Amino acid sequence: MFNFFFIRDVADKLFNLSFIIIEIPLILLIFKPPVFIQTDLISILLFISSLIFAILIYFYINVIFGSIAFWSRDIWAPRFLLMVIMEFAAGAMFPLDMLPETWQKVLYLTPFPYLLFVPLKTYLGESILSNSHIYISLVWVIILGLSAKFIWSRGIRSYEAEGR
Amino acid sequence: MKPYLIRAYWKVWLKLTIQQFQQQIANSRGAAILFIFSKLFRLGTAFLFIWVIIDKAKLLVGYNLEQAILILALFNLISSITQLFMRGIYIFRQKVVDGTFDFYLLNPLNELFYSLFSYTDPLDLVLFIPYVGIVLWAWIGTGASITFSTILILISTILIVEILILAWHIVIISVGVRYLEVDNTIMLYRDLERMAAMPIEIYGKIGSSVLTYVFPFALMATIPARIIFGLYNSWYLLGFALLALVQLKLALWCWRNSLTHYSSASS
Repeated sequence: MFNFFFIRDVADKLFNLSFIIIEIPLILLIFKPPVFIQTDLISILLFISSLIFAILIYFYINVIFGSIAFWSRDIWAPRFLLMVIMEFAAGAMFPLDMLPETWQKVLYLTPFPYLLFVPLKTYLGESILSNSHIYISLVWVIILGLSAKFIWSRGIRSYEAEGR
Repeated sequence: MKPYLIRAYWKVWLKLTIQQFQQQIANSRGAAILFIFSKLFRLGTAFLFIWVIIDKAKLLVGYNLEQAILILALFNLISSITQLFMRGIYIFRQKVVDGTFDFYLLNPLNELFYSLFSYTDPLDLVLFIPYVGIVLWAWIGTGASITFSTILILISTILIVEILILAWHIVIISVGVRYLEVDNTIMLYRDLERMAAMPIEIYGKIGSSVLTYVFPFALMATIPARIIFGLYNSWYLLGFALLALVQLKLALWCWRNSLTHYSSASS
């Protein structure tokens, strides 16, 4: 079941990625931003690993929050809260290094910066946490993966088919 | 539109909104609090963003912190009005797929009314009051005077921009009728719309022209804010009113055209 959901999630990401064929040239044309192409092989490899971990972390967080549906009829509100927190804490709204240092330290204790900000910094070849972020990402993948499986198995026990 | 028709639409809208409210109370009381908290949290992080930028750069394309905050507050208010009334777009695809849209077409009231306005979230209604308060607080913060005429112009601007937004929403659901694709299109539109939370000058000449004359986003925040600061000639609004009417006419033509291609998609 998990594998099926994961493959579907990856397929959905690939589908959304296809939009860049239209979006990226448009953004380049209108805003003419400077483009940085990474050529250092180690940075590229680190970035790919970071990206894979980010996909897994995102998937497991979604499974955990989606599992609320086993106990509650309304999952839209908690999912909306998660979305809002993720947008801020992952660095999608603005780069996290713009925040005061204490805030950054607190955010690095959560899995969210490893979803976007850390992979981006890795691609740029900028060292964050002395490259130990790869190991931290892996630890989050393990913690969240185990939590997701545990919560899912508990949820299945509480599941009641309501039908329509 | 005749007065009795306006009364009919108002009654139906009120009934549908009350039903939504009852549904929320019955299913998820706690979720409502979580939802309101999330919306305020998001607004708070947006304010933080502006504060962080201006703390480092002192000015944002010529606007100081208070002015940039007012632009964000105005964007938030106008965006919430759209969310409040045109929420039906998020479930429109489902309505076409499950056959409910067939009933909309048979209904004596306009099918566009049901498609767009039938899913008002009462929580947005609850949040509307604090959002107005935030705009007033931000307005006072800029030091610009609050006059009756400025408020009147601001309300007119909101009316014009809502017509422009309505036109785009109609175009999106027209695409939905023909190709059963609404969700990604509306998300793309929302992503673009969020660009208006910042002063549009940051997007350069071409970018700000697109966001002013093609999409209605400049009118959502930057232009009303400039009117408040006394930096914009409000007579230009007449041009936008004309643009709104043209876009609405085109959108309605699009809608009617898409309906001629509609074949019940339900199973």
